[in-house]
Amino acid sequence: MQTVCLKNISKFYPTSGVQANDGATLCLARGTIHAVVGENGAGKTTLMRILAGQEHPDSGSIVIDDKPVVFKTPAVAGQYGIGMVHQHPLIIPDFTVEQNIAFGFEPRKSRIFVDEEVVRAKVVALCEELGFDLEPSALVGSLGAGAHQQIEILRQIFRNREILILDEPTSVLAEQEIQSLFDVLRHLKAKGFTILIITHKPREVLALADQITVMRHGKTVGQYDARTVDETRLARLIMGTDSPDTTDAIGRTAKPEETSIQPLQPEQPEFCTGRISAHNLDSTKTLEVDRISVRSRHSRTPQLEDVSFSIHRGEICGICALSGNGLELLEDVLGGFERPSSGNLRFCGKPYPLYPELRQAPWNPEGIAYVPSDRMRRGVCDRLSVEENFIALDRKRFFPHGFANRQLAREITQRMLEDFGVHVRAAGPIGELSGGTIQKAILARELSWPFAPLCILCDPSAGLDITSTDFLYARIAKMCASGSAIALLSSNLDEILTLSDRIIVLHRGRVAGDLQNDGKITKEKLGALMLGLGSAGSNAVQSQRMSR
Amino acid sequence: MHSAERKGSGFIKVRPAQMTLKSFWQRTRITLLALGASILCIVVLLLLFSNAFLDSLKLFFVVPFANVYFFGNMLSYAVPLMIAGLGAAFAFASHNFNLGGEGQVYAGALVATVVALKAQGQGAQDVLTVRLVALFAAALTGGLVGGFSGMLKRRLRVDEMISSFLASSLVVFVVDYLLAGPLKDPNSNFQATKTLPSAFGFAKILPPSDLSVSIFWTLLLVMLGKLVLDRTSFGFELKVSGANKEFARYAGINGDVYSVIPLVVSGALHALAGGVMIFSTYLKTIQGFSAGVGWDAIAVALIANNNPVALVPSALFFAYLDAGSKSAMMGSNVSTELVTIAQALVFFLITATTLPRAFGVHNWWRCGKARAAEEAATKAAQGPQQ
Amino acid sequence: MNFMNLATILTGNALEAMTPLLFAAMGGLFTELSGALSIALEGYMMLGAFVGIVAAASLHSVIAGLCLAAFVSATLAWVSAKATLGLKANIFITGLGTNLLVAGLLPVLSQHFFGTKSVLSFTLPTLMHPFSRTMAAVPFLGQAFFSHSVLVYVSWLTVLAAWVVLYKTPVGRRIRACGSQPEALRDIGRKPENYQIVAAVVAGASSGAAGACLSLPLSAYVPNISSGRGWIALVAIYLGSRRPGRIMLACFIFALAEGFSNYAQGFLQVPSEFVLAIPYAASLVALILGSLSRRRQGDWKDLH
Repeated sequence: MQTVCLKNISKFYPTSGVQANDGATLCLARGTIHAVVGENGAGKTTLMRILAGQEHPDSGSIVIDDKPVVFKTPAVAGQYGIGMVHQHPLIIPDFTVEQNIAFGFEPRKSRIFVDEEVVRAKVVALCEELGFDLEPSALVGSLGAGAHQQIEILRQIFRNREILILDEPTSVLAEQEIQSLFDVLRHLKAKGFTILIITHKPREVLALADQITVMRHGKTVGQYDARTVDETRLARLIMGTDSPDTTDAIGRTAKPEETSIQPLQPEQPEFCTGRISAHNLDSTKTLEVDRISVRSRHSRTPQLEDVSFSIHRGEICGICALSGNGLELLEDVLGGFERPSSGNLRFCGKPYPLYPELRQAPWNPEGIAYVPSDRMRRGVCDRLSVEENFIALDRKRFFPHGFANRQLAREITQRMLEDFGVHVRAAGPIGELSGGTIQKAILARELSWPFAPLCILCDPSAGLDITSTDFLYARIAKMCASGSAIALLSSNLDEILTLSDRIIVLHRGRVAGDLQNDGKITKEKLGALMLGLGSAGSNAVQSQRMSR
Repeated sequence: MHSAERKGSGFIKVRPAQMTLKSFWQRTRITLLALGASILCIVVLLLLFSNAFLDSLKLFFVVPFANVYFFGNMLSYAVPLMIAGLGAAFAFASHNFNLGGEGQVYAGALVATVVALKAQGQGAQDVLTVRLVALFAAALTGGLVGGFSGMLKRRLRVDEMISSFLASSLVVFVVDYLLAGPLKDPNSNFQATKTLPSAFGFAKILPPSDLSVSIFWTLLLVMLGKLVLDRTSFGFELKVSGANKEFARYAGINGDVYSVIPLVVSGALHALAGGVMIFSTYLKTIQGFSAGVGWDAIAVALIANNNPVALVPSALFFAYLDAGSKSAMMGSNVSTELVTIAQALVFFLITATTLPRAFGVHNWWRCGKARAAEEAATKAAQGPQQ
Repeated sequence: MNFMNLATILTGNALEAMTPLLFAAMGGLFTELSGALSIALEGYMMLGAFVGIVAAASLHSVIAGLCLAAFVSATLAWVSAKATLGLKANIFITGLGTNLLVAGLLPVLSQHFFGTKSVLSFTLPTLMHPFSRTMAAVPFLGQAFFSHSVLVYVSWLTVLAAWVVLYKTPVGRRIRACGSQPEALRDIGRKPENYQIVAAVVAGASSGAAGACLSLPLSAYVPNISSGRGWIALVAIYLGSRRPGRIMLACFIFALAEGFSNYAQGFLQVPSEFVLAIPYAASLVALILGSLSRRRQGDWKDLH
């Protein structure tokens, strides 16, 4: 059988001191769908980047059809038919769909000019075959994340790459879009493509994959036939509470001994399912959003129209939408980066600090905690040290009488960090920390005692491993118990369903659904609302429909 | 026109609380390299263009120390470089490019002269107050010119690099016109204002040179600058706004203010430098007398890496080069533009964040090690299958 | 003087004056699109002006002068770009350095080879194209559009060439991708830095040609002959929204302003300093107006 194998790959990053891959091995059979699963930091992405030729291993080898190869550049890997569909697609903003797809491999007319007709024909044909609804001459800037991903997939196919590596493809998609993607992947497999899919969500890929490789701490735990593994076992393997199997038996796994360790499931948090019912709801409204509309400066991106909801003390309100449907704008409004063109916002009865007014630090009694979705650009300044990132939020406190009080800053920062279980030096530069640690530091900063009366969390558990996520959820529970109101803006439907008392769905900038989370809502239902299909539990949507 | 991210490229650092020893040495290494290269460049240029190489070498490098007159004048030129350099550093610290230094210095000088002349014309006796008022007026003018670019940036997102350059060029033309016309001293052959009586100047401390007490005031100013930038919340907010505008807004810092204020301060300091030049040395404004001070100030700030304390040795270095070129020009056929060329070399090297492999002995060693590792990897790739 | 005559003269002057701006702006456009904007256009122009006329006079050929000017400036641009990217230095600072280098080098060379730092005069063959005399007889159209030196028409071709290269060839697309998504280039196995160097060389060559277009028609080299045109070209790129056609329009407007100011000097007794200042003032005003209209349209493409 034709195979592509990664053997004993090791990779060490000296700048961060991380052993990303440690003797990892993976064997890929052509014409199959192969999933690579593991927690954050398990080494999946590094291994795949090595396979795609974007990184060089310190030791180990890549073997294709029993012949060792060395990928000096991604282009060399491409010649062997290996192409990567990145998690954040490398879309060139000013180009059209077809220009993006053909980029770098444009067919030529008389050797110097691009043959645009050939490109157009090929793109149209590919779109039709895979069922992609893309307009070849459309500018990519106006399209959503799902379309960008489709463009990347088409790009690799355009380059005649038959081994596609997809890096966390479902992280930016809604439920229905995920199913469409899986249909496309199955179609490609039927045509002879080989698919490698990296993910940390095992549930999704059990439906899709033929082979599964589990990774942990840079090592391969094992490679398993998908039919022999169920969700529970997979979770155990990923977390390491199951005994690893011998790694060189593909498809033949030794029967795991029954252990006395309980299967690891996410803790049942004391959220939702009627935690707050209508009659014991604290009537104090912390946040009132009253018919706000945002006329965005960029006419292409959707605006917010007539959005109204309120969040009471101690309530968690989950807000979800597909990318490009107004969630980002709502975050910008609540976070103080955008001003609604009409409507009212109130915070504890008083006017909300809207742009250009500034929010107060989370540890102030009238402060607002805000964990942004773009953590690297908005949540921290990577030129500063960790403690400087903390003191930036409250200059009045840390610069009494105008002059710096470094001692106080260091103490408080250290306390907040340890409180959240982040063990880093407060004085060190923040740029050296990993993405997950930075996220934890931001959470430590925003969610420390004294808790802010209003907390805006945007994708808070993105990039966190399960332990940290549990810690985060416990902290959120504590905050609710002490009266904070939480707005949870997330694209992670599991998170929304787990935590929220109430769920609001946005579609094209309007409220498409405002539902009580009574435990009966499914991800499919939310997905339908996010796509603008199906009825919601709210009358507002019905009347919007009729007025259109 | 271009984003602040593109400006970043690592050369303006909001220094973390602890700079590692390694990064300090790397930074200093580059600075020393730049300075050394500029000296070497001058030597080479003298070799190429001077008709008396050894003489001009001596004139350039030795004569500035030869006697009190040259030495004192050298120190005296360092004074406006320090002040204007502080202005440039302020702008850089907030990630703003103030390219209008030339015009701001020139305008400041003229305003200071005119105010003092007016006061003298009305019979003012209190020289101290007159100087103070004149310098304040100069700073105000510079602040307005700088603030103009700042407001354009804040309100209209006009790139301050271009607008400050254009505005400053306009200011230079206006001042040139005034010096050739309405404000010209009718009794002089030069395009210049009337001369102020020497009582109006700063007290000289090293006659016969021009060095005056202004150097002490300037050192104080530099210390004040360091205090503000490193220890106050204003300085902190300024640096953060420059480093990451989005984060600044997130943290509750009003970044708009810091588009304007650093440019106002920068303009004011440049103009102040011009005024100080008048009261230290010239006592009148001559057309083109301050040409080059603005660009020198940028070079000074770059070498000092926007650290106010480092501005002092940096300004002294450039004053030394300037003094050398003037003395070489007087004694031989060498023209003063040589220093400009050396300065250009400094600009090229000073913002380097890495040195090419050729420039470091231990880099050769690391080179070899890397090559060995690559060979090992290739061998490993081929090995097991055989 | 009637309106027709005035319009003819102004248009004709503007088209002549537009030539160096066009060359420089097209080259600068490449660097802006590649993500490594060159602010050294002024320096390349001055160098081109000097080299162009010295070469043309020595070799008795205008074409040779133009080509050599482009070549020398392109070489300087190449060295500068390689140094900047190799040292990972800040491109704006090194751009200023390049300007300073040329500003310092030219008087030294002028002094050394010609004994003076002021105006250098030469005798040159003609620049006019063969039909210019007959064309000059045609009212308005002929005078305004068709009776100029060959340099003017070459500059128009440059605009066309820039448009074709940037939008119709793979190389042009890669240069454009460099500025907005350099990772896409690494993905196809190319280094963005290489394309930035290519763009820099193009900018050097065309700005060098621009400089030659300044000195050759005068048959003389005047110190500071470019007087800010390099910076004005940058403003034109911005006003033209980085599109060749619109940049050409912006350059034309600037040239019109300059032509008018020359005319005004003769007629309206404006002090010479103000006349020299007009290009700068016009650029600043245009910059402000352009940004105002952007703000009204809501076209805030570059935040921060």
